[in-house]
Amino acid sequence: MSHSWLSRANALATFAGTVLAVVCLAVTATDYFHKSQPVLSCEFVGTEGLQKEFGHDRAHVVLNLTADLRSEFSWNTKQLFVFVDFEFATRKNARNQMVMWSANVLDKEHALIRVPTLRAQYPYALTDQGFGLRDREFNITVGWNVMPRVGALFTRRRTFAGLGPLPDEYFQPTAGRVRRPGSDEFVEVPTGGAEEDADPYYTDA
Amino acid sequence: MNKRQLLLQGVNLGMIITSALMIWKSMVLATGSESPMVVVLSGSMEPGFYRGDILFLYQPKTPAQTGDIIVFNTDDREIPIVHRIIKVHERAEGSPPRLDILTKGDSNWPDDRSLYPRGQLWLNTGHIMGKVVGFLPHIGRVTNIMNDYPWFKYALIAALGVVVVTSKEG
Repeated sequence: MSHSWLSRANALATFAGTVLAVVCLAVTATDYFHKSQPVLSCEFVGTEGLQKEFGHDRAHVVLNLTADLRSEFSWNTKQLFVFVDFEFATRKNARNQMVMWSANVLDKEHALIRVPTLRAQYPYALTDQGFGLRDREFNITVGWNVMPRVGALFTRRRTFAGLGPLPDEYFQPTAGRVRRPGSDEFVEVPTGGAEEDADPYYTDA
Repeated sequence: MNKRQLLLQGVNLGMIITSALMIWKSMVLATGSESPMVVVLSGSMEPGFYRGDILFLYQPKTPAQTGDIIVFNTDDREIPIVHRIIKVHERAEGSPPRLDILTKGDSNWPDDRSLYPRGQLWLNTGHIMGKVVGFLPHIGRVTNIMNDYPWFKYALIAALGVVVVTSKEG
């Protein structure tokens, strides 16, 4: 065995690579032992509009979401991608599932999410592939994709079923005015403004 | 350096290459994905994935869900894209039922429709190369350097060739 710098470099690189691989595996193994207690609640505030467009229906829905995901953060968590799904079934499609809102949560402090008037953010849209949204039952599923510093990604979900149905007739969307579920009455809600379109949790810092 | 030593070197090199190939092909079989490991090439999924990160893919048996991060290739593209599914329509009939899928990069403003071929509004299961299940940061940066500066790739191969030829023992 020669003791040239080449063989030393080779031995060092091999050892470093092996150690790094073992450490990465150990880090991702710790995820298995992390217990989390997420606390969520979601209400259907009402419908701001239900439109018949060219070839499809479009709904404008307002939710009230509270999600305490702080316990999901472990030392191996880089970020949570939190998203709100709107789900329904029609005769043509057994499953229609679409994200209506999302946020990147980069640290534990921002993982307590309160959005009292949660609306679809651009480019997310609540549309059917037909005209099936009137009087449609729907579920809301809140999901969080746990993205690690090293290792396995996984997604946890919490479904709030049967929050609907949507109103049974079309009406033009008016910002700030929702039709309460199961009734004809309209109430005023805060519009939230442009901040709702911006991602409040992802900064360039 | 006689003929026998040269042949031995050749066999050793062949062993290294075929072992790597066997490991790769086993991973393809185990994961069901034609490319079980990929390097992130763009910043469209920041801050989750940066250029040079390595992703491990898997073809799940369950149908695609929103929130899944997938690697997909449309018919006219060479290089696959890693983005997140934001909309799924699953037909009631059919076995397996057809899926219409829409994707978007986390740090992109619009959805991916402008990236699909002209006239194509949706992806389907056939476009998906795999779902991202594992992540390793930074290791793939070497691949990025080799792609951006091809001379580095040739220099590396030449250096490895020199090392193989000049090393005394097998």
